[in-house]
Amino acid sequence: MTDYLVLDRLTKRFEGTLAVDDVSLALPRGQILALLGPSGSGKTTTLRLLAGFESPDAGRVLVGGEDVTGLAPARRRFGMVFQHYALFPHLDVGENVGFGLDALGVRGDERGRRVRDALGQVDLVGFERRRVGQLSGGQQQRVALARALAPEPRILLLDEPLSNLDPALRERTRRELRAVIDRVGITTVIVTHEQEEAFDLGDRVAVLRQGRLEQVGTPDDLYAQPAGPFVAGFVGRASTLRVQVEGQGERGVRVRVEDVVWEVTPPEGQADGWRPVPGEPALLLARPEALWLSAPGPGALIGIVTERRFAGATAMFLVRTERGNVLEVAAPPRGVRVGEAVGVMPSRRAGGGLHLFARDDA
Amino acid sequence: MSVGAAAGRRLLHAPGAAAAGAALALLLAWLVVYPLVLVLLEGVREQDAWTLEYVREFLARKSEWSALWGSLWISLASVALSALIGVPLALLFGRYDFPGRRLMGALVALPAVLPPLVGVVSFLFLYGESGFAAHVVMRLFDLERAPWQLKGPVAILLVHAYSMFVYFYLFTRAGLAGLGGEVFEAAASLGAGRWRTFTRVTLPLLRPSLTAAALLTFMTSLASFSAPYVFGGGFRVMPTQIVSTRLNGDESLAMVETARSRCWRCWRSRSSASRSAPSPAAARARRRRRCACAAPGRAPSSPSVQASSPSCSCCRTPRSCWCRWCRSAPGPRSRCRRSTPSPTTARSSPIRCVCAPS
Repeated sequence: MTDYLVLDRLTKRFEGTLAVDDVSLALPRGQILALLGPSGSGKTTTLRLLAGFESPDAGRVLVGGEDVTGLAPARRRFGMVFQHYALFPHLDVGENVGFGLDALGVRGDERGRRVRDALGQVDLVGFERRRVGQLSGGQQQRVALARALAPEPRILLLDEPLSNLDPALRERTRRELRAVIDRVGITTVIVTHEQEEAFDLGDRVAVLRQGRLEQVGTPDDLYAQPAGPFVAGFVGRASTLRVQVEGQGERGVRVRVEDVVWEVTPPEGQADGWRPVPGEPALLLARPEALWLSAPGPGALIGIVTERRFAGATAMFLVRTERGNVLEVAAPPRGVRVGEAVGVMPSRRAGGGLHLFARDDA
Repeated sequence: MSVGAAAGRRLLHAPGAAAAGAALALLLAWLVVYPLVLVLLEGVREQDAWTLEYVREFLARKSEWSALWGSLWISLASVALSALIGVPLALLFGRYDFPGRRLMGALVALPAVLPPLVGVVSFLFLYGESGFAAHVVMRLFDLERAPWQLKGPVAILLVHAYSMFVYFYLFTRAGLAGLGGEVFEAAASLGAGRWRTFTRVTLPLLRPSLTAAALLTFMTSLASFSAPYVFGGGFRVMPTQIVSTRLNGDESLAMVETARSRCWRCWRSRSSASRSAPSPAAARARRRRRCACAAPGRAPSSPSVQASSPSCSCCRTPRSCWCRWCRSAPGPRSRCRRSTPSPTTARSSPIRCVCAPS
């Protein structure tokens, strides 16, 4: 499958600081790319470079082989849904949705039909004559989506589309959004700072940090094979432990954690090419489901349960060791109580969930 | 959006509000209602009797109508011209980034803090017939006379546009700042070019700001005195007409004129700020004790009536206006003299002509 949307070594500087640093991404037609990162990671700037609201200091944007880097936003035929929707308050819903059709020269019955179709996509049929101010937040978001889709753009850009909705509405809107995008089959780039949102919506997820692309891949790849401690910590939950590499064991790498030695099995094909070297320090990132609670005994880290968060079938336990390390462990909710002394061991059942990375600060 | 609008309409009920309201009502009655009513009454009163004579006189005189018309079209043209300068400037400074934007953006608003008279005088010094610019042009092209004259409606409009575009500039910039950038980006992402964005998004969204600026410009222009006074020449607008009538001693007519021009302003805006007739200027002119219509540079002349002419030789006010005591047109053997304004009877008898046999 050839890539429809290509970002080729995009770089953008704001007053000396690199907001987007040499970012290259590619997306096949009809797929959804989620740009994920904390605030200040350059994800919104990347989206604005795509939309044409900012011009890159270096690099190109290609759509279906056409270089659109120098094209004005109005001529790119990209649809965009803004964080605050940016609906036109002086126009009603129908006029808002039809706004983009005027520039295409679509008039009369055809215009009316396409406005109706676009509103039908977002389940707002019959809302044409409503004032924008009379709509709820969720409805405004859908109008913004319909407005962006009505001119049948080549690419759909979504800037934190769910951040202005209350949490109860967010999940439902997310499903609807996914359904609409799938139905239209449009190539989409979505910016978000929420991992769950990115994983739910994105066919591919690109993790950005301080303007640099840390890793791009399917949600499964990112979770199972994070390229570095940042991605591992940002994507899903993980406890970080400073360890010493002891050597190769029967079932994996032997590492010393505090006073005990664990054998861990990191996934094959580490992205950054680093290999654990005996005697060197490393970082161990452990997913909650890759650890388990046992009675204090040999081979187990001893700690006190400080917190229990109930989440249905399993509960999250926070265990603090004597040396101050805090581990998050998923376990059956009835296992232990807060204040009890427990042992923590790497789970033998779970394949993966344990990652070793180079420690820079050694 | 809707939430914000609703919150704006929500009013507070504080315990002291009623008292504050009453105090404000008193203040308004004193500063706004009383002067207005007084002016209206003075226009239709004569010593102890009611009369419509002055109103009739006002309606009958051509000069009054032309001054009224002059005021109206000068004000409308000032609004249009100020908008043409102020709105593009605001868009330039509010929407685009370039070196020196902040400093220049602040400098542009400076004419707002200039007292109107200072602006007028500087225009005169810079661009008048004997002003700086005329001098330079005369030197450069070796001319004997200045190639232009700064007078009449065009000069008034120039000065008005210079000092009043700031209203449009400031209001538009504030409006733009309130809108934020997203709606414009939304328009661009929907394929709208600059012109379509301007006509279909920018202008409609700025309408409240533009209406306020237009209203303020219109009212300020209607009440503008110094520019028409200095540059008007034979061209009269209501404020200069009022002052000249009043200087001629015909106070009741001046009251009718004032009421007339006030009614206009009230009609334009219910929340008319209380501005009285341009009395400080009148007082200044009075102190100088010369004919109101004497343009600067002309020798001050004492108002006199020539037996043969039906009106004043310098300001062309009809003779009947001169004397209020004898009510008859001064005959060939009588002269109008001004009574000396005395501080103790300032309000009731400022400058009145007395008929005295010469």
